[in-house]
Amino acid sequence: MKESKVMLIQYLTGAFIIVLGAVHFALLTFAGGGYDNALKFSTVVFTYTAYGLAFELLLAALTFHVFNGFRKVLTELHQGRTYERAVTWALALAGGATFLWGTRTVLVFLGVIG
Amino acid sequence: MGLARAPKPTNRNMAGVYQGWIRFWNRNFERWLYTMHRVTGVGVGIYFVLHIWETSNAATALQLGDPAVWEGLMAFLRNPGAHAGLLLVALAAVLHSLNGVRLLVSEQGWLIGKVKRPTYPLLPSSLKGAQRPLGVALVLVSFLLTAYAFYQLFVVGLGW
Repeated sequence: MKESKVMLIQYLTGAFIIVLGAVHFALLTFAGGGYDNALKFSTVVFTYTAYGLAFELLLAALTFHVFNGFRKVLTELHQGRTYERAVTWALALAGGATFLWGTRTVLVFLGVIG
Repeated sequence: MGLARAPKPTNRNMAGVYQGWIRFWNRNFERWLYTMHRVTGVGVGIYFVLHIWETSNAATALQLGDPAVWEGLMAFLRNPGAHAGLLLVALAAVLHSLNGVRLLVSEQGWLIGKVKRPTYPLLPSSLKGAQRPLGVALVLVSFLLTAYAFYQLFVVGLGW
């Protein structure tokens, strides 16, 4: 994929994260009855069940944005093509594993995984 | 007479390191915002992975039918040190987000000064628009939102 397209996705996921991240922040504070209440197990179960799909979308956007961001920071050190390919593949694998790990949490709360 | 051996080609280019994003001299405000964007991005990124692990404990608690798995972890993390760390994450996330919006805006060519023939004192015309006030505003708003995070983490969360 062209680097300009990757950066476009980086910007779009960034904008998306700001919107969903603000909702996540609100649910942890004033919309969730305060930080203390938001972390009670019953509240966590309710929040994940009600907003599971939104969390999955946030997870997908964050995984791309974070791991592509790490890749940008590391490839800007300009250590050659082999280095850049190694960084890209290592971070793609790490990002994939993180995404699957987070998806498992969402699927458990949505009742897909028992 | 043999030919002199050509130097072995190397991929090492340390300019990317020493002249790149960790260069700390000849900086203006925007250059500091650039470094801050990198540092906060890496910090929040590392926290994101830890947060995935943290929340997976809630799923495990649900699977086992044992809320103590989650509540035990939350009780362990309910201390001033952990909440200070979360406050730093909140500050980093807000700074990174708002500066990201500034970058999106400037990438479109909005709110930057018009290109003009350079005249003394040779200030870049791109910095003569609303970019710098926007940069200062985002730092101030970030600290205001972090003050709210402080209230939630320490007053509501720890009962200070």
